[in-house]
Amino acid sequence: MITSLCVIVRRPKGEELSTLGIRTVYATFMGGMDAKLLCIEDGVFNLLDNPGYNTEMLNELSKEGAPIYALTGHLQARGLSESNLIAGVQVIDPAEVAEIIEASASVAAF
Amino acid sequence: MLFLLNKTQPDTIGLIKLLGGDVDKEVLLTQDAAFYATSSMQDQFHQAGIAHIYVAQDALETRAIERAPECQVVDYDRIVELVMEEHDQVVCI
Amino acid sequence: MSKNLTINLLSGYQENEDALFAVNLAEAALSKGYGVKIFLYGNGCNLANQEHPVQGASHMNARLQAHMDIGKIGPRLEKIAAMGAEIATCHTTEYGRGTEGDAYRVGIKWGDVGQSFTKFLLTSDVLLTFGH
Repeated sequence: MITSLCVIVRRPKGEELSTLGIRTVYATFMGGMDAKLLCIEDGVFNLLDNPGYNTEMLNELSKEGAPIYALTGHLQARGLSESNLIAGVQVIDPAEVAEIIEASASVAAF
Repeated sequence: MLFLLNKTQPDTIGLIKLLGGDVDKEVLLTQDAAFYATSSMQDQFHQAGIAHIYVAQDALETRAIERAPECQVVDYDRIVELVMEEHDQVVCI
Repeated sequence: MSKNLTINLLSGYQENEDALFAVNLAEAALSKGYGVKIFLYGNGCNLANQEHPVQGASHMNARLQAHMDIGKIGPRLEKIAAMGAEIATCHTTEYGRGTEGDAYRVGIKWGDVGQSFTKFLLTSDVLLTFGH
């Protein structure tokens, strides 16, 4: 039985894969699973505060306490910092990424 | 940890290292990722600490790739064993 | 009790080989006694529906048709459903493509992320997500 899931979102806001990933975290987390979201590469752009479904879902997840992570180096490479992001995002380093993946029973990359 | 690669992409090895950290890693090349079955790519995989590299037989044959000898060819029965029995985690990227 | 595999398929027909790989893997897993569940998500939902073939002569030459036929894995989805695979599609991604009301292939069911996919996970041992 899979009860924990790390969803990795690699694509930005305008691509459906980002919505599918965020929707997956939302549905599984709200359904009681130990689900978390890790944004890397261009996926970190989803964590900016702007209008639309993705951001609404992310803000709800954050309010409900779902873990949301962004990789620091991938933010910096895109000219972003923690202050640009919605509330509740934890900025992490590569070592923490590997720990999160290892601790998850399953991983789904979008 | 088994990384199932289904595409070519920039810095594949960097992504595997990021997600896999220090855990033991193996790679299964499928679809266009079979283009990584060459000798020069095997060196890069090994330098990244990846112990074994497998390549899907159908992907290899349809691309007529000159495979590195250490890259093990697997059919779907063997892929099922790798995925279902031999790894605690499978990450598709 | 045998293990179960969930395949989360994000790609549909022709765009890449994800669907072909997924079906080949599912068939092999079923043949070895594993349970298989497939969730058709994103463009994967395009695989869920019955085909509407053109009537009359084809406008494709045989070589092109043979190439396209490699990726037409819909009938094989029906086959693996008959072998015991559970296959559900995401009605939301169908809605976004205007196919929500179309008839499903035999063995493929209406579904969603919150119920169908989550239930698949809770009854599976391995999750594979294929996308590009």
